[in-house]
Amino acid sequence: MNIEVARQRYKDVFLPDVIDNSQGDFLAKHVPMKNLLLLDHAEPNDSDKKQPMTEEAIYEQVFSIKVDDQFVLVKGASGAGKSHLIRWFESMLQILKQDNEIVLYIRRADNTLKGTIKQLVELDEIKSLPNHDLYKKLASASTTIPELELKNTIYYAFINLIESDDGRGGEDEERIISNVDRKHLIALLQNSTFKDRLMDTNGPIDRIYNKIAENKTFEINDRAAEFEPADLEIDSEFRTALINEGADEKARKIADKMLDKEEYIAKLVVYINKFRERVVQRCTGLEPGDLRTVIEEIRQELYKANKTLTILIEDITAASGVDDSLLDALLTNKRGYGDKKLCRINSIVGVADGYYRDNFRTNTKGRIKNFIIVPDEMFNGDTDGLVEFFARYLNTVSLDTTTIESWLKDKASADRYPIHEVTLGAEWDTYKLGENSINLFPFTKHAIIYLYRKEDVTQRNPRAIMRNLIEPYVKDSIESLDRYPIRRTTLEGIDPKLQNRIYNRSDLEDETKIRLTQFMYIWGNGTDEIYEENGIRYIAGIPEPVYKELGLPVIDGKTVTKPQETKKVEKLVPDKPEKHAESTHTEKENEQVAIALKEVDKWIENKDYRLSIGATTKNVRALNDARKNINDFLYSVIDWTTEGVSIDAMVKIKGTTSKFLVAFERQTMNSDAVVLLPASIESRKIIEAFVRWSGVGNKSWDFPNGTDYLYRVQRWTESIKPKIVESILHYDDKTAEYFSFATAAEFYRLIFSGNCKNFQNPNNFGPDLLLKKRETPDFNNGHIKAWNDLLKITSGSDGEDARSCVLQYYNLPQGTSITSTNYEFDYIAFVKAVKKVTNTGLEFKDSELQLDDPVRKRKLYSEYLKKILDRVPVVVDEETNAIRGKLEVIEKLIDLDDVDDEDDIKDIVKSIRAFYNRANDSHIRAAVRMDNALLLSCSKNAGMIFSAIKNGKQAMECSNVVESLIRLSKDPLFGLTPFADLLSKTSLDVERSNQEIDSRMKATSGNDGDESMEEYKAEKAELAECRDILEEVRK
Amino acid sequence: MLLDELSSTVKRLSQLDKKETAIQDAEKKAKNDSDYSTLTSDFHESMRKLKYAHEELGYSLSDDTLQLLDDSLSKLQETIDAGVVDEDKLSTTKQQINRRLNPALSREWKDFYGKKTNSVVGKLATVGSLAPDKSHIDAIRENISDSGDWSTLSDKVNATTTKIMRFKYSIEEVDKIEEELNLNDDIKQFISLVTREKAKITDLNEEILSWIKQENLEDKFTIRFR
Amino acid sequence: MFTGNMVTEAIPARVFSLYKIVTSRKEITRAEIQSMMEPAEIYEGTSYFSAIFKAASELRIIDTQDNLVVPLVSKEEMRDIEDFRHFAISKLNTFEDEQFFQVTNVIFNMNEQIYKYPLTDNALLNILSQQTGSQITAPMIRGWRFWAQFLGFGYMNNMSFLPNAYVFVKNILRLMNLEKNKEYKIDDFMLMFEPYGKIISGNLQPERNMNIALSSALRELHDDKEIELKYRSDAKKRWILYPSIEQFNDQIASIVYKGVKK
Repeated sequence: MNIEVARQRYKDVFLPDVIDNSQGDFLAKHVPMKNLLLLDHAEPNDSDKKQPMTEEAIYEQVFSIKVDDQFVLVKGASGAGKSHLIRWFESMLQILKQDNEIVLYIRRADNTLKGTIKQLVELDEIKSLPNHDLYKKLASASTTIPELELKNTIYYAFINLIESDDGRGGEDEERIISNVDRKHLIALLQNSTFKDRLMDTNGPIDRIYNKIAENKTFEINDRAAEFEPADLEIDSEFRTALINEGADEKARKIADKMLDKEEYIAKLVVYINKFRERVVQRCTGLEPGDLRTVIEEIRQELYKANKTLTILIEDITAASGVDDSLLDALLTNKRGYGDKKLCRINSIVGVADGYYRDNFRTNTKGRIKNFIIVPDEMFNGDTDGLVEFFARYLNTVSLDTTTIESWLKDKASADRYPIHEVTLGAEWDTYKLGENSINLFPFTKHAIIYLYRKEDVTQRNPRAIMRNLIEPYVKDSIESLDRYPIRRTTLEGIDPKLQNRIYNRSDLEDETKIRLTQFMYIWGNGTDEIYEENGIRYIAGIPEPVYKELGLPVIDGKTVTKPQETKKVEKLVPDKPEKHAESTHTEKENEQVAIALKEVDKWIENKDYRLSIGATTKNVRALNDARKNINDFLYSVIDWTTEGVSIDAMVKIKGTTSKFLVAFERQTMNSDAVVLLPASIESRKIIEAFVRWSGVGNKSWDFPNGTDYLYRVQRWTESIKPKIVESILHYDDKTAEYFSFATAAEFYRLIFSGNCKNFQNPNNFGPDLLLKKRETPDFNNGHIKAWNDLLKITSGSDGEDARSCVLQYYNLPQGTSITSTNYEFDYIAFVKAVKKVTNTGLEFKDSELQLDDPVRKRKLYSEYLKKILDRVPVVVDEETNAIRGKLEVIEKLIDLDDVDDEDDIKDIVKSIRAFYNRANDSHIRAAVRMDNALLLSCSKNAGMIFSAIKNGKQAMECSNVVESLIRLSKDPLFGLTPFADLLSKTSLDVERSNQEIDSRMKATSGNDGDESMEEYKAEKAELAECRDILEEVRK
Repeated sequence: MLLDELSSTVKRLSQLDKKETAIQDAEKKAKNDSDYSTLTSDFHESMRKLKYAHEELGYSLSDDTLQLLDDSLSKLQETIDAGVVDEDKLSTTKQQINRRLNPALSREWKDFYGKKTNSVVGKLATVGSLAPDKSHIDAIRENISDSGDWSTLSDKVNATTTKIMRFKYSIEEVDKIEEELNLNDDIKQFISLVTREKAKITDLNEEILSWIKQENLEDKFTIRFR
Repeated sequence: MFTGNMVTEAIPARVFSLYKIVTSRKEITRAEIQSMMEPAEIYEGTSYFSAIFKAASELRIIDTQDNLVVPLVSKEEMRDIEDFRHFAISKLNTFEDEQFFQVTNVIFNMNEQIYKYPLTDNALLNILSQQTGSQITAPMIRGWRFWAQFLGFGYMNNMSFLPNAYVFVKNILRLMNLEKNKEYKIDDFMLMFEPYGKIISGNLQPERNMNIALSSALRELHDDKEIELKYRSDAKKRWILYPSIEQFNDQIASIVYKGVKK
C-alpha cells in the first residue's frame, strides 16, 4: 500500500456505485470478467456453461461494426456484475468507438422514468430536434408534482383501470381473476384503511412514485416499482379492523379470501401489476407510444446526420413504467418502420434475472435474441480471479488520480497498467499480474480466501465483497494499524492447538491474544510452524516483520522446511471447513463443547457481543448449563461453616432463584450475581472446564487433561472465594442481620405468651429462653383483643419460621439441611449473637430493619418483625388503657391503700356476699342478682387479684414500651377484670337496694301511728262497768 | 366507698326490717285490739243484759257461772295489763268466754226462761183466750218465745227496745192483762181448768158467772162434751 | 474419628464448637457441655455428643480430669477455626496407624482414579477396604469427607473428592519453620515435610512422583508466589510433579520459600 496516497484516496475509491467512480478509477479497479456467456437463449444449459467467454471477446462480437440493429440483453443476479460490465462496455466504447457513433448511457442513478427521459432530452442531438410539443410533453413529464397528489393519482389510476378491466389485465390472455373478485378488489382498494397501508412509506405506491419522481439519492434502487405479495398480505388483525370499522362487505369478502392465502394473493399481485405501466404512463402524462415515437424520431434525425446510436441501459428494472414501450422501441428493427429512414441502433440492456423472469412479457421475451449471461458467483472456483479482484482494488486505492488519468489517456492498455509504490506493508503478500506484483496489504491470499468463504453465499458478489471486506479492512488498516485486524471472525473447525498455546500465555493481554490468534489463523495458516527464507523468519507463513509492523508478538514454534507452493488453483468449495492434517489425530471435538466455545469466542472477541444465555436457545444450552454448574460447584465446594457462614444463610441465597454467585458479563439477559466473569480468556478457560466436565467427563473430571482444568478451576475458586463468602452475609455494604430480627421476633412471641413475666427488661433475657420447648399459646387470658391477635400472629406460621431460623442458624448440621432437630449447637456463637439482640432492648427503628434487603428469604424476617414492632405500641397503649380503666373502676369503689394482702381482697368479697345475703333476708329484689360464681372465683383467686392490682399499677408506670409489654405479660387484666366487674356490679346493686329501701321506708311512714297510751280507754271503761254489774248480780 | 356503702345499706336494712316488722305488728295489734274490743264489748253487753235480767226479771246466775264470769272479766282485764293486747291472753280469754262462759250463760238463761215463761205461758193461755185482741196475744206469745236465746237478747227490735226488754214488757203485759181481768183465785183456777180443758160445770159458780158477765166474756167459752 | 473407626457425626465445626464451650467457663462438666450443644427441651433423636467429644479428645484439645472437662490448648492459641485447623493438622502424624490416616493416604495416591467414583460408591469402598485392611463403609467415608475438606486435602463437590492440598500444604509449611528466601534442595525439603505431611507424601508410587494433590498444592503455592519451584538441569535429585500440560511441569530440583500468607 502507498499509505500517503491511500489516505487521500480511499474514500473516493470506495463508492458504492460503479457509476460514480471516475472512469479511471473504474478501469483501474476493473477485473476482467471471464465467465460470461453469449447466447441466443435466456437460460444457459450445461453445455453452454462449458464455453465461457471473456469480456473482451464479447466486446469484439457485440460491438463490431454492424449494419443491422441489435438488441442484447445482459442478464444476471443482482450485484453479479451486470452494470459493471455495461459500464466497462461504455468505458471501452468511449475509448474505441467510431466517430459517428452516439453512445447514450442511461445510468442506474437516473433510474426513474423521469431521469431516463431527462437524459434523453438532454442529448445534444435531441435538443435540436424540431418536434417541440412532444419534447415539451416529455419534459413536462419530468416536472415535479407534489408528492401526495402524485401518489393519489397513481393510486386512483390503478382503481380506474381495474374498474374498466374485465379481469384479464388488458392482455389477451386468460382471465386472471374473476369479475366478482375484481369488483371486491376495487372495494378493498377503496377502503381507507387498506389504502393507508398501500400508501405507506416503502409500500408499493411509494416505490412506484419513487421511480416516477426525480430521484436525487444514490440509493441503488433495485426493487421493481411494482406490487409485491407482502404488500397485499392480510392478517387476522387487519381483518378484524375491517369488521370493526364497518367496511364494505365486498371488501371484507375479499379480505377473507386473502387471509393467509399466499397463492391467491400472488394472483392478485400479478393482476394489479398488469396495470403498472399504464398507470405510470398516465401519471407522467405519457402515452404508451410516446417513448417509442421519441426514439423513432431521434433515430430519424441521427440518420439524417449520418450517425449511429448505441444505447446502454444499465438496468431496465429501474425504468419502470416504460419498460414495455421502451423495449418495444428498441426491439423494432429499422426495417419494421417501413419507409422511414432510421439509424442503426445497438441496444445493450441490463436486467436482473428475477425481473426478467417475472416481468417481461412473453412476446417481448420472444423478440430478444441475444443474451449475455453474467454468472452468479463471479469468483466461484476462481481463487485467482478473487485475489486479482482484491489486488486491483487495493492497487487503485494507492494510485493517485494523475497516474490513473494518464493511463486512461493512454487508452488504458492492460500492459501499461500502473502499479503503486509500496510504502507500507512491503513484506506482505503479493499478487502476480503478468510481470508485476501487486502488494496485497492489508490482506494475504489466505485471508482473502478465508474471509470470502466466511461470507454468506448472497454476499459473494463483487459489490458485497467490496463493501463488506475490502473497504472496512482497508479503512481499519489505515486508521488503526496498531489494532489491526480489528474485526473479529469466528474461527470454526480449526485445530485449537495454536489457539490454546496463545491463550495460555500469561504474559499477554487478552486483546493481544485474540488479535494474534485471529491473525495467525486467518492471515496465516494457523500453525506454529516456522521456516526461514532469505534470512526472514516466517511464522505461520507470515514474515516476522509483519508481526512487528502490527505490534504483535512472535510465538515460538517448531521449525520446518518451507512448504512448496502449489500451482494448482484451490477449488473454492464453499461451506465445508478445511481440516488441517494435524486435526485428524486430535480427538473428535465434542460438538457441544465446540458450539459453546464458539459462542464464548464471539463473546470475548467482540466488545458489543452479548453472550446468549438462556435455557431455550438450542445452541448455547451448554453455556446455560455451565453457568448453573459453576454455581452449583461453588455452593458445594466452599466449606461454609469453616468460612464462618451459617448454613441457613447460605441456603437462603442458594434458594433465591434470581441470584447467582457467578454470571457472565454482557449476557443477553442480565443476571444478579456476586461475581461477573469478565469476557476474557481466563473466563473462557473456566467456562471450558465446566463445559467439558459436563459434556465430556459426563459430570466428572475424568476426561483428558481433566486435572489441568480442575486446577484452573480450583485456583479461580480460591481467588473469588472471599468475595463470594462476603456476599452471602452482606449486601450494599451492610451485614445481613436477619438472625437478629428473627430472634427479636421470637422474644416477642415469648413475651406475648407470658414466658418472660419474671424479667424486668429484655436486656436480661437469656439465650436459654429460646431453647425451650414450644408451648401452645393460651388464649384463655385477660388480655385485650389486640394482644391476643398479636399472640396469634407470633404463634402462627410466620412465628414458626422465625423460631426455626433462630434454632437453625447456629445449628451445625451434617450437610446442608436446615430442618434437622438433631441439634448440635455452636453454643458460644449463639449466645453471643443473642446477646447482641437483647442489648438492643428489642427496639428497632425502621431504618435498622434492613427492609431493603434484596434477598426475599431474609427480608421476610425484617417484614415480620416490623409487623410486630408496629403493633406493639398500640397493644401496650390499649392494654394499659384497659388496665387504667379497670383500676379506676376499682379505685372508685375501694380504697386500695387499705388493701395490703390477699386477705383484704377476701374480706371485701366476704363483705359483699354478706351484703347480698342480708339484702336477701330483707327480700330486696336486687339480692337475686348476686353472682355466686364470680364471688367464689374472686375469693379463690384473691391472691392473683392482689398481684394483678400491683402488676397493673406497675405496668402503667413504665415508660419504655418493651418493659411495659413485659409487665403487661403478667396479665393483670385477668385478675383486675373480674374483680372490677364484681365491684361495679355490687355497687350497682347497692344502689338499687337503697332505692328499694327508700321506697319501702316511705311506705311505712303512713302507719306511724303513735297511738298513745290512750289505748283501751273504752274497753277499760266497759270492763269497769262489768265489774260493777258483777258485783251487783252477785247479791 | 363501696364498703362504707355496704355497711350503711345493711344498717338501713335493719331499720327497714324493724319498721316493716313493726308495721306487721301494728296490723296484728290492730287486729288484736279489734278482737279485744269486740270481745270486751260483747262481754259488756252480756253483763248489761244480765244486769237488766237481774234487775227486771230477777234473774240470777249460778255461783259457778258467776265465778266464770268473774274469771273471764279478770282475764279480760289482764289481757291489756301490758298496755297492749296480749295475744295469747286474748286467745285464752276468748276461748273461755266463747266455749265456757257463753254456753253457760245460754244454758242458765234457758232454764230461767223456761221456768219463767212457764207460768207466763200458762197465764197467757188463760188470758190469751180471754183477751179481746188475739193477735196481740199472739204477738206477745211470739215475743216471749223469741226470747229464749241469751245471745240475741241484746238485739234491738226497735230503736229503743231490745229483746230482753220486750220480754220483760211482754211478761208485764201479760200480768197486766191478767190483772185487768180482775181475776181472783177461783176465777184463776177456773180459767186454768178451762185452759186445761178440765173445767167442769160444777166449777162454775156465781162468782165466776158474774165475772164472765162482767167482763163480757160470755162468748169466750164453749161448753163441750167430755 | 481419628482413632478406631471414622464416624459421620464428629464434623470439624462441632468439635470446635465443643472446644469453645469448654474455654468459655472456668469449670464445666461433660453433661453441661452436652446440654448446651444439644438443648434438652428441643433435641430429638439419638445424641451425637459422645462421638464429637471423642474426636476432640483424640485431637488433644480437651481432656477430662476429675469429672471436669478442661482445655488442653489455651484460648489465645486457638482463637478461631483456622487456628483449629492448623492445630489439627499438626497432630495428624500421630494417627499414622489409624483408619483415617490410611484412608486419606490411599485416596491421595489414587490420583485421577478418584474422579471416577463418588465417595460412597461401593467399588471405591471396596478398594479402600482392601488397601487399608479394614472394612470401610459409607458412613465412615462420609465422616472422612468433612475432615478432608476442612483440613484442606481438596475440594468436596457433593460426594466427589477433588484433590488439591493447597490449604493443607500451606499449613505444613508453617509448621516446617522454613527460612524466608532460602532455597531448599528438594530432598531436604521433603525430609522436613514428612514429619507433618506424611499423610500426603507417604507411599508415593513410584517414589519421587508426586500425586495430584501434592502437585496441585505446590503449583498453586508457586503461582501465588508463596514458594518458587525451581528446575535445575544439573541437580541430581529431582522430584516429578504430576504431569500437566499447562502448568509448571518441570522436575523440581529445589524450592525457595517466600512466605505463606495466613
